[in-house]
Amino acid sequence: MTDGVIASGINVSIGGREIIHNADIEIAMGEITILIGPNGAGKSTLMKALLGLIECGGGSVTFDAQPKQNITPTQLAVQIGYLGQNTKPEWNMNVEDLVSLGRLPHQELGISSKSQDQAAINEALGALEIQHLRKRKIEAISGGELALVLLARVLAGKPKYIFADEPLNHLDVAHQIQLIKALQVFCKNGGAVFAIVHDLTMAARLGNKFALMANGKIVANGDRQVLNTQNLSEIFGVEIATAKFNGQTIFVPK
Amino acid sequence: MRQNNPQNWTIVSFLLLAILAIISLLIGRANFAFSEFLPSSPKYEAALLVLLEVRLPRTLFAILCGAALAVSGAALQGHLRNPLADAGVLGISSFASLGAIIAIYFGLSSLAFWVLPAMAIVFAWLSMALLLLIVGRDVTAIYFILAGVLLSTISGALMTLALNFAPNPYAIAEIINWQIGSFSEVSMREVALTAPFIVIGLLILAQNAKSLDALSLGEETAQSFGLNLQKSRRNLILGVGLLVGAVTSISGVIGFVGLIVPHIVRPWVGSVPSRILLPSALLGACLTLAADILVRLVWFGNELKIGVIMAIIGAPFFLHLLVQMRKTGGK
Repeated sequence: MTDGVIASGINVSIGGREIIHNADIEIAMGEITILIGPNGAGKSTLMKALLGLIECGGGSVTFDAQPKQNITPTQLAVQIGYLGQNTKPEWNMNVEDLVSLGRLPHQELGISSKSQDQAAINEALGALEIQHLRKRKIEAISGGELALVLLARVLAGKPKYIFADEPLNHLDVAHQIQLIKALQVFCKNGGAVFAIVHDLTMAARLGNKFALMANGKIVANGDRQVLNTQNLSEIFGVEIATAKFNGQTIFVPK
Repeated sequence: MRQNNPQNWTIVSFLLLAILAIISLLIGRANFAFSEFLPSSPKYEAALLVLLEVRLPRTLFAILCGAALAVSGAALQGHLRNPLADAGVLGISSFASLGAIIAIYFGLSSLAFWVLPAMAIVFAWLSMALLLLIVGRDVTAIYFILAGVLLSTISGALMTLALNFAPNPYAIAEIINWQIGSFSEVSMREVALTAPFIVIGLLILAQNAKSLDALSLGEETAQSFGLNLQKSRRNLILGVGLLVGAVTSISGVIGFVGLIVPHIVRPWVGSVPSRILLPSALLGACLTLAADILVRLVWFGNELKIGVIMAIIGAPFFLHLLVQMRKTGGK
């Protein structure tokens, strides 16, 4: 297997303080890998370090077995879609214009025609069932709709990898489920997702690989079994009980 | 408001500009009837002289100036993601006129014809570098406005100081001419002197336009698009400095054009930052040309300054934007 993202021995220091220490992480194709940990554990920093948005103090990242330093930023940009935390467009553009921003890296590389751009935009709007919002202004749609539009922006870039920093935050249950389904479809079609999620029950529902992080270190990773009472209680510092309900695992802090 | 096709909008503003240009050529202090511009008229030669030597350069400069300032404003607002950004508000124009004052009153501008605009451009660059240094990564509106106030205050003080030390004893009386701009002394020489800088500045900002789109989702998302933030910032400084420096070295500070115009354009062509540059250039040219026509029509015994008109229109507009930002929660 050559495709996928492999990071090993990642170190990040900001202002002399070590934020990430010797972190290894693997993002495999067709899988949703979820990063879980308390606030300030370094989750967002690790995600940005993988994407090169923050400089690594050490370690290596490979995309499809290619060292990241051998890939130009624009070449990387057509492979990845980054859904940042609390991203909000600064201008009141319409939904279609916002989604079309996802085509910028392709236009920059000159590898996409106008009709290909339009097809990708339509497909992304269709995947999230928001075609009806196409001509609406950003300020005239709800927070939940905006989250879907921002994911459509990412999908319009036809990425191989999606990096999503707390994509479910501030969303009602219906929009959370809609987002989860869209990400699962994306993976079923061969993509890979790396996401940070705080809601443990939703995380368990969304992901199939999990990495637990505390104090800048990855303390456990693997499949659903790593989400056990002992691991979770240890990294969050509160006791967390689990239960099965309707075939799903739910997590309750004591 | 209905969102029109950007192309239609561009054509309409181009036509408006053409009409204003014709009016600008026909109207002025020397009162010629339209028939006197015909070769059969006895006053034909005098009329032609006024037309070519006074009104044509003034019209051309008003167009260049409006386009330069409006595109600077659109690029600054887009890059900084700040609806209040403008060369005047941020103190860039003020610094440019400081550069021009030093060039003129210390005799530097007599060394070579290009020294005057060059000094203003260098000072505009300097102020933008300072601005971005002060503000750093924090793009909240309030920091920019405070940094702008700081830069304007510093340059105002330095202007007064420079004029105090100027060898010419009457220099200090001219400070008002530099702080409130006017086109009254523009000849073909000034147009020819500034046009190349303005054209290069416009080209740099046009070439940088797509990076403004990438930045509309924030710096990190822009970087995830592969954008080189340093390069984009460098181009912004280069382009805006050339435009604002070149214009200000001739006319003095003309505020608010760059602030107002992008806001008028956005609802019409959509808010995608790269798409508002060309319409802003055309509408900016229309606005300054219309204001300059107004200056020539209203006569108080002394010519009104275009800087005054722009401030009278611009200040309430600025207030309107502030109120608007408070309503929407602002940034």
